Amino acid sequence: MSDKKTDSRWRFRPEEEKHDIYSLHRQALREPPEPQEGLEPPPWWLWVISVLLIFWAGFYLGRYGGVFGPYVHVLEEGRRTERETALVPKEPETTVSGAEVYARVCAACHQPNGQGVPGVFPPLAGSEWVLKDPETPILIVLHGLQGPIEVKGTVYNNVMPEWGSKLSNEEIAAVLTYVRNSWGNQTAEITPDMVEKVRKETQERKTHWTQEELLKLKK
Amino acid sequence: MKSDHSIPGTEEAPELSYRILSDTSSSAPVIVFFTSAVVWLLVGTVFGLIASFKFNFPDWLGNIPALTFGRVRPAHLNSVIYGWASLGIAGLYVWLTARLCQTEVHWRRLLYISAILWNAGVLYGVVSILGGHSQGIEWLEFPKGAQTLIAMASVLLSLSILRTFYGRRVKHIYVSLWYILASVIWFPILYVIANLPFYSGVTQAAVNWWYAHNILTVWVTPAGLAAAYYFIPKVIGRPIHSYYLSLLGFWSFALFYNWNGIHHLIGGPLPTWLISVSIVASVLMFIPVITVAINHHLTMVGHFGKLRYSPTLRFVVFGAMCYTAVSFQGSIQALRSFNEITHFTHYTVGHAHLGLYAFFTMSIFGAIYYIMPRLTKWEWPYPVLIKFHFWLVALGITLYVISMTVGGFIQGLYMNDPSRPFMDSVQVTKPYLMARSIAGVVILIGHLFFIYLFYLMIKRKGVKRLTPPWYEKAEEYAR
Amino acid sequence: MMFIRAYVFFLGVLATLFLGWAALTFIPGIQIKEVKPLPGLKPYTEQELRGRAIYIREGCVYCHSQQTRPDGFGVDQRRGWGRPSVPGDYVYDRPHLLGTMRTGPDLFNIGARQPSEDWHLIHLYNPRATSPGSIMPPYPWLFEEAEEAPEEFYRMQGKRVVPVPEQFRPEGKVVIATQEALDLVAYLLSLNHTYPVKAEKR
Repeated sequence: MSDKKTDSRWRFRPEEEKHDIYSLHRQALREPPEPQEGLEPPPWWLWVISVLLIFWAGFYLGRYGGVFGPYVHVLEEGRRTERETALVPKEPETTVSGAEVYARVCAACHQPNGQGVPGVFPPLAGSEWVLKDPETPILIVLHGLQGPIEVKGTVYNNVMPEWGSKLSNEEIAAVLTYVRNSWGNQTAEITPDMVEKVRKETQERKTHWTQEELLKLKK
Repeated sequence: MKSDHSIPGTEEAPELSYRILSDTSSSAPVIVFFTSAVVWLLVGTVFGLIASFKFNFPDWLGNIPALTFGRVRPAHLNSVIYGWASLGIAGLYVWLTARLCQTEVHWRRLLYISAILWNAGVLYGVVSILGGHSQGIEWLEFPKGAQTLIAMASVLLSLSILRTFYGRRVKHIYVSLWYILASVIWFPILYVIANLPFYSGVTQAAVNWWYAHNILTVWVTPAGLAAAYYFIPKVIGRPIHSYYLSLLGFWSFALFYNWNGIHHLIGGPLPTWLISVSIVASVLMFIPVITVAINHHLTMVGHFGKLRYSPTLRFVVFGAMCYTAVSFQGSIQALRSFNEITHFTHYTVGHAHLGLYAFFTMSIFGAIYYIMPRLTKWEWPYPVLIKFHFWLVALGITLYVISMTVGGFIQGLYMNDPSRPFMDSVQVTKPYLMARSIAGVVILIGHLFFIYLFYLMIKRKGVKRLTPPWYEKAEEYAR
Repeated sequence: MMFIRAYVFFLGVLATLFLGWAALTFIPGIQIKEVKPLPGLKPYTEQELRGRAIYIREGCVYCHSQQTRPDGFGVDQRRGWGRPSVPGDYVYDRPHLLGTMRTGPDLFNIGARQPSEDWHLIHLYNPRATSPGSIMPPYPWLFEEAEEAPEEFYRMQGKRVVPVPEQFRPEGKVVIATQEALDLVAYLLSLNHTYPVKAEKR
């Protein structure tokens, strides 16, 4: 890259300057000199902090280094030999909160206030299907529901997925008890045993319920 | 040293003639870089503001695909990083390298080509994102074509700067120049490595965040620090406190900072040791940061009164202080116990703006206030507008960072409380998001003042002044 | 005088970058390469990949993560977002879409958590129809509007009518999902990582 020609264009040539040199380069000439560096020694405590931090770093890597293998989520296990356990989900908690299950499973469609979405997802508050007997809501949650269904005088036509394979008996019992006792609903509690019983009775069923089937079952 | 250019009155001080030589030769390319940077600053700010208001009014402009949040946000990020920041950095580096090497800018043609390629790349990239052609990788959204243009532009810039360095007339290499040289070597390499098409799955996530954080390591932070190391001692006219601190600060920075990236994926599906190493490196960042803070503070001490009359010093010192703040925050934020709360929340957004705006952008503003009069031979015409600019953006960014930090922290607490529905963590941030939008408007107004001033500078319009802004105050101070 | 020899300086600078690159991307890359796709993980279908491209185009990743953290670090599992994700879950992901924001919920298991296609379509047309208070933007350009007619009329033409509640759609119109919307929903429903992880033995 030969920039000689360009350079000469830019090189400063005082003989061509028509202006007073000082006013032309006022800004550059008034500056202090280019910065220099002093030679003060660093404060002693900076070294102390640095050494302490490096010690801490060693400790932290030893504790949370996960033996530098391709293992993920090795947090509490630290150096334990059975590191792989970290990959396996922990046992579900023994006490299940119905409100929590509702928030994570049901609220997306039926809404946090149990009112559903008008014309699309039916309400649970005051719904005859939720309130009439304990088995019907268990059946619906276990196997899902499909096709037109009349709730509180309005017909809804949509699909509710099955949750039987995804929720435990305890969770279904807790969430149904919650649904049957919230937003003005007030009915009997549902226990895990009742869910277990219904689950056993209908274990061959692989498809969603329809309104007619449910009505036939519970005359 | 003897001057080979005879400027009357400078025979006794060759440095003066070199200074004029380097300013004269850097003037045109630096003005090109700064002007395009300022245009991208405006574009980026507007995109940022649209994105912010979309949180407040999600249905606003809801029918326009190009202006949906998921496209405007990357358009904002890319136009401020690759447009404003990168072109501003290029201008700063070219000017500062020539100054510190006491020589003219070499290979200037490469710089013009670089500026053209760079602007073309960013324009192509931003338009592609808005048109829906994003690569979908954060910080690397630009399509391959735009990335190629930017990579070529950055190589040309680096070549010119290294050539200028090769032609230096100084023996001692000042600390600002260390950062610049490291930066122009790192950036093209990093940018090319990160864009190689070999990665997928979790490895790609590691490369992605190694790169995204390293943009700060190799590009943005060195520029901010080079500016602080140069302008603080320059304006107050005394040496930087300690060479040894500079040395320790630079090498610990180079060693630790580019190991930080994976702290963006704490708790994620990456090998635990990898995350731990990044956490450790983030915490070790205390060493370079404290070192640099001591160095700057002990240089400034006893001269804080000068903040009143030098716009450059005002912006650069604000930036340097925010550098300390953002780095401390970053180190703590990387710890698992803290990160558990702030990960995935707006807190991170606040942190990013504390770094990229309060530290970096303010430093570049300071640099532009210093450099422009030397290039256009024109003084900033309206000091009062500089005052407006400073206070609007300073207050704006303060409100921004506070609202995002507090709002994000509460959002994190709500998210980690399983008895609350997820929606609560959205609802609780709404007032903070509104405060953020207001902060954005304030910052935009500040930018408009700055852009107006900048326009007057390149056009050499406005009041003709013979002294720098607040010169009278400076005189008073000197007495 | 103290000054660093330029070439020592340049070597040092290159070495630091190289070290970081090797440690943070190269070595883990080799370690993770050995990871096989998990037995329960299916490759994306053609349609799901088209949907994934729309997910990328509309920038969903800026508000939704696709990674779940272990118990004891956040409450992802108690929220029902699924077991902690592992590298074997992502072998078919290119580009990766891990995401680092949760302005909206995690989507790693959205297909299992919300298997209703209707819900997703309504939600994409107007998020506030299914989730009041949501700040997610609507995506009306993934849908078409047509004159109100019985659903069968459109179903005969192979069109998918979205049951958007009346107050959320233009008066006298029905909302029909475009192929893009269906592809995107197919992708979302494919995000189902509920299969178990076999502990990886050494």
